[in-house]
Amino acid sequence: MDNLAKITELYNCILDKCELLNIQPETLNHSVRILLIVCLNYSLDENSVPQEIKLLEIESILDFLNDELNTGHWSEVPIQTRRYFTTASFAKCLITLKNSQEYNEELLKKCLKCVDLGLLLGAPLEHNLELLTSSAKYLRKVLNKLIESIENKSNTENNASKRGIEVPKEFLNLPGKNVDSIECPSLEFFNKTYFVPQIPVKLKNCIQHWPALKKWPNITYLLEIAGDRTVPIEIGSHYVDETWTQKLMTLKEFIHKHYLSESGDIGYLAQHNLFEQITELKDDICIPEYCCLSLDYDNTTEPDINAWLGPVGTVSPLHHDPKNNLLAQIYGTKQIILFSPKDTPYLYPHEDKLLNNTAQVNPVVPDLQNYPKFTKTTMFKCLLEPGDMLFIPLKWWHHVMALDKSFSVSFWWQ
Amino acid sequence: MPLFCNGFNLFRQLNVNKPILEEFVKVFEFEVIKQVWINYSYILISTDTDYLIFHKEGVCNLTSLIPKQTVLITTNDDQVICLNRSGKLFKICLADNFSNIQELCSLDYVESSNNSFLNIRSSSKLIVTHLADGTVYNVLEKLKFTCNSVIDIQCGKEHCLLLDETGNLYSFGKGSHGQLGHGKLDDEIEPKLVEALAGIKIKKIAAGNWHSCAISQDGDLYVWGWNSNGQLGLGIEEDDKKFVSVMASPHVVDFDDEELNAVLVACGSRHTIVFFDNKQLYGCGWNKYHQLTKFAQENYYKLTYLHDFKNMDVIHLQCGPWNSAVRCK
Repeated sequence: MDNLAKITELYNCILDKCELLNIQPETLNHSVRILLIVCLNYSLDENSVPQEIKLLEIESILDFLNDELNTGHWSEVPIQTRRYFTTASFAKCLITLKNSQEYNEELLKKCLKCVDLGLLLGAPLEHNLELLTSSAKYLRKVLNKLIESIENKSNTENNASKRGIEVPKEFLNLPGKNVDSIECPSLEFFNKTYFVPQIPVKLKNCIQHWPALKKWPNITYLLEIAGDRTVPIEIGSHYVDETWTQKLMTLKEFIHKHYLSESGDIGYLAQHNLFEQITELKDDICIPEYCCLSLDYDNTTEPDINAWLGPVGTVSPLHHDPKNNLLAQIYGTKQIILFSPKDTPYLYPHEDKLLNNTAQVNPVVPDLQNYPKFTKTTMFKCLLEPGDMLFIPLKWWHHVMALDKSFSVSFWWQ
Repeated sequence: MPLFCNGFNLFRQLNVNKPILEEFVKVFEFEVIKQVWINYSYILISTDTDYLIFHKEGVCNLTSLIPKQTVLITTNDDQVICLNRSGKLFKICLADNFSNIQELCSLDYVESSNNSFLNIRSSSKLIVTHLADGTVYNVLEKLKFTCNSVIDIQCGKEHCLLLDETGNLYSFGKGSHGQLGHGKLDDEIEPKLVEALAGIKIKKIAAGNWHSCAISQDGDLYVWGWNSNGQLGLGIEEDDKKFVSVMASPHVVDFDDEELNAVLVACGSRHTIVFFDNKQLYGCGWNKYHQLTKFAQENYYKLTYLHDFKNMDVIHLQCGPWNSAVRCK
């Protein structure tokens, strides 16, 4: 396929060209707005502006928007600003490709990264809903074809370790009670017995039919679908730790540096909406029907689906979330410690606004000197194994630790 | 008086026909430069007679547009803001090509002969002004805080620093990146003393988008806030395990030459420049648009030598979002 055909494929991702060019006054700095419209026009048509100026212009727009995205709390960033970031990322990708003589691996990876940043920081447009997901899908295909012959197709072995059947000692030694465990309950029974009274429960054999259970333990499959995609990785033992940080890297880098390697820092692909970014993976899972239950049927929304992929030892410190949660285990084993919202006063939540859903006490090795009231809590525990799913009611405190290499998917819903 | 600038110039705001100025160049010279405001796509300069805007459309003289009763002027990326003596604010917008003036708002203020506005600062998210009687407005809000010896105000993107005559530093606004220096990430509605610096007499302050700097009487440089691009100059690279991206309390910066004293400081969106008593300019942070040096390195995590102003009389440092500027006598 020649370059022209490749660009045409990307143009085909545009369903509504007018929407791209519709940058409303007042929603963006005047100079940036004019420049973005100019950049879009020449990314869509022929022109004679020198390449380095075009790139500088579109880069400066993305940098300006990036500062806007960092202003105020993430949830307060106007959706328009995030949509402009999406549009500008697409324009940068077109400008980069259009002016290159040769499509090599490096160039395509650069474009894919730019599209991924657009997916991570931007927001989908209204009419061009799949502008970036289809662009990424397409670029990935071209890239895979290009490097097919060169790279490690076969020798990254099936890595999901098979642990013995015995229950790990550290789990047995925890003083808590096991949460209930039932086989694939009916919606009605689950609703009446667990959901309405808000009681945690382990659901067995509910997700056996998910293709993910068979496909994802094979790391080669994940690398092929998503190896060159840029994802956010949490580095450090847990998010309360001082040196904890978040980095963007390709899934391939993450898997080699933090997942397969024993020596590196702990890295965790955590709480990331991987399935909106890499839609190919969404076909491997299903939204559990339990997510249609609600405590308030006037205010229901689609569940937030997040991926959690990491090596042994990743920890989510004791915290609670404002939504109901179903945590599905694809492979590996996780240990989850739970406390009812009633125990909140005994768990010493952090006082900072940003961290007050997180407890100061570590339930695995509680410091009773500093947190004496911890003894008044009632601990529940759960060992989550491949194919299991745990229902964590909203506001329930939970501490999650991976006992081996693990991939989980969480569904948060109201 | 010459003004030396470098960095981002895509909108020709530095009056030179190059999209980026890789090194400090004398871009403006007037007999008197009273004040300079550097924004994303334009610069405003006040000389002893005129207010001049430099941007993509060329030079634009604002002098006749500015209301007669204007006492103070401030700018942000979108507009020039004029404050008159009765507490009324007007805006001259970039989107209108600076061609007309509109009322912005009025402060809850009663004009009086023994009171006057002393200083105003703004960013795209806030406007702060203070008066001789010690009151401070976070427009439109009149704050409870009063201090009748405020000598400087600096605004970051969403936070504000206030310095008083005795050398106390106060901060308020958003604290999400540690930019307030109170050891936490919480927001503050009212100015709050930066306790970690209490007892240290602060002489100069500067605020970047999400970071803050202060120079003490002894010539020490304190930094806090966001370190995304090394703008705190702590000397630790991003790959290092000890790298800190958010520093919520003031931290003193080590200089290679311990004899040196910091004299002036200014912050851009994600970079910092510092002028020392040996007449050398140092800087750290983001360099993508050559807001620090001509070299291609994107981020400088440590204060790095930028330029020697040895035969010059440097009086003021200032940064645009992605530029640096040095004003000389």
